[in-house]
Amino acid sequence: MDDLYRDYILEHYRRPHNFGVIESPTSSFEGSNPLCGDRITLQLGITDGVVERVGFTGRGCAISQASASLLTDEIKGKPVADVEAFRADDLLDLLGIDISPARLKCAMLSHETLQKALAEAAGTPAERATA
Amino acid sequence: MAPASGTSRRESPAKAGSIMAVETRAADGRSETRTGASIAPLFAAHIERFNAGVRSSDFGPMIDHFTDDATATFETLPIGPFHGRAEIEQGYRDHPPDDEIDVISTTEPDARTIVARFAWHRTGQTGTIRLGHRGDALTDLTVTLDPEPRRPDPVALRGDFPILRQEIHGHPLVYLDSASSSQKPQVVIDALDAYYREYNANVHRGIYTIGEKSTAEYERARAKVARFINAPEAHEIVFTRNATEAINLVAYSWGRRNIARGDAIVLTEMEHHANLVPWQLLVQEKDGDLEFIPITDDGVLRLEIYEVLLRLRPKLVAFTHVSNTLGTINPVRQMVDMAHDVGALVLVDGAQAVPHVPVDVQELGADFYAFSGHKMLAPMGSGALWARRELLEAMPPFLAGGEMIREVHLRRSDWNDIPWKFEAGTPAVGDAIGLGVAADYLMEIGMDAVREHERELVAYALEVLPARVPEIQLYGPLSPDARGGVVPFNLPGIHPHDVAQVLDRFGIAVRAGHHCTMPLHERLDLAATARASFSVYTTRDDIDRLADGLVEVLGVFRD
Repeated sequence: MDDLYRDYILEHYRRPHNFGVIESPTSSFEGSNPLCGDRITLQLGITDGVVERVGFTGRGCAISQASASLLTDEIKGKPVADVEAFRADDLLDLLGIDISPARLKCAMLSHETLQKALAEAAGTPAERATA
Repeated sequence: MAPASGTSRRESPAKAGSIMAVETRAADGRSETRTGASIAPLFAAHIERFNAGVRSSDFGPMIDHFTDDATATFETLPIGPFHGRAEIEQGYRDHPPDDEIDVISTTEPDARTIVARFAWHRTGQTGTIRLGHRGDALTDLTVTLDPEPRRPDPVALRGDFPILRQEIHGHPLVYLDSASSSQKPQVVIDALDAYYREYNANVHRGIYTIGEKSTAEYERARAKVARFINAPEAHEIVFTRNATEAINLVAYSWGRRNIARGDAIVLTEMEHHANLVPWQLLVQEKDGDLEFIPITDDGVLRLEIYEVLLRLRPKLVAFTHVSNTLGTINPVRQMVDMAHDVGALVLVDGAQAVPHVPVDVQELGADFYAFSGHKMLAPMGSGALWARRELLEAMPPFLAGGEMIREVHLRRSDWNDIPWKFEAGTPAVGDAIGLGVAADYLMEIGMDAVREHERELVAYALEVLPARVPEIQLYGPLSPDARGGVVPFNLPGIHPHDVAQVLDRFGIAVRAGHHCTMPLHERLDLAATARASFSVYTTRDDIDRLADGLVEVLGVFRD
């Protein structure tokens, strides 16, 4: 019935892929949208320059959680360089739905959190998101 | 017309109003009373003489309107009937009415009879007048008062709000976000239109006709706003952009002069950020302290803790009249008295109160009362601060520039009188005029009637929503008597943003998020809530549609 809530989005929301904590992550970062209460903790297990393992936990709206599920699927097993090259627009393509400006922050939370986690992995600890 | 008798009269103009006048608006979109073309001269003359009689206690000119053998009957009153002009005159002398009437509508069932609906100007009680006439003279008059004050008919009122006539995604718009901002009736839109088309000019400057008119209308709006909240005088009303600006005005002007190191300001856990952050900035600058009255899980202020906090001898207590998130109606008078007992001043954030409950600042006893216009059917960018004259006079200016000065020299200036001292620069003249019109509109409906309408809506929502959607979690006081037209809720496992997004597909507008009360959400351990909020134009059908919509939301997210 709805452009936004397509079956695969809802499916990722109900049964998110890569949901959970991973053992001894090499990088971990929590991102949040205080304005709506979306919250995601993203953990990466990087071995030999490859994102071997990835896990996320969190709560929030369907868009933020489905986005994290899709994103983690996408980056798992990829070289860090490829993951770093994965842009926000690529995530929007992956979502494949029209995101209104008001919901863009929800869709982008996982991507922003990933950037922070990658920065941490690269040894430049990012500022913790505060606003 | 009906001489005064056993009908109860309230004195507060803030509670006045005539319900039927709204119907007149619905018919032609304007607030002028209409009378049929043929009867207008006779009837208008009679009403004018009656109202002049009320003002001067001389009913002579009105009595002259009757034929010698006329009859006056007051069916619902224990007086009369009076036969003959002399008796009618004596009847009016013995039972002088104490209020003018507004004519709402007239009909002419036959060539000899005029039937009019009327409302007492201040109380809004309605009734019917039947006038028999021979040409320009009245042969008989029958007055029948309605037994109960009429309630606003929200279905009829909706016609006054053009924005509600549209469809969103193929469904009629159900606007349930009035606590965020209300819609505007045609009369307010017309007032803006008339201002810009006919007399747009700066105020307090132009020595020319339209400049004088804009000044007069701007100041007339101030008087209307004063009447709306029963302020003792219009000069105690400072026009601002909104409640936020009004509160900031007090924080900067009064606060920076009166709050010093170690001084306490008492707030509550349920404040909108607008009545929190300005005080944070103030105490950070002055090294003062903020204390907070906690709430119960149902969202009611814990006054026993307030009592303890007052032992700190705070300089100021600032709290909301009605919670924007939970709808809680706070016991303002009691809290004001408690604060005054320890010498604290009180600021009340009335943004969520003025559109929904009768507000009488003299009865409430507060020192500052701030509110927005845009939530009370008035234009965006209109709002006001009321404060006691002596406080305003002692306070230094807030913003500086033109208008707020009397004399300017290169190195010093003298300030203008209140309220203009606080209205630096060219104000939002049209918006202020619109605010006055909105105040009139609400007064004509009657704020008691508005409150009763919304109380019923809340009661209906609290009954229907859990019945139709058993999963729903509702927040706030359980009794409709204790809350305004605000219903916050959540559906388990579904984020409020998703709820709002799906509801939008059915043309239903609700707010989702933290509603500018993050500390309150933290206190209730909620990330966010969805919120349905009501206004005069909200109907039971809107709530039924919300229930339908929530069933759809559950369907979308069902596993």
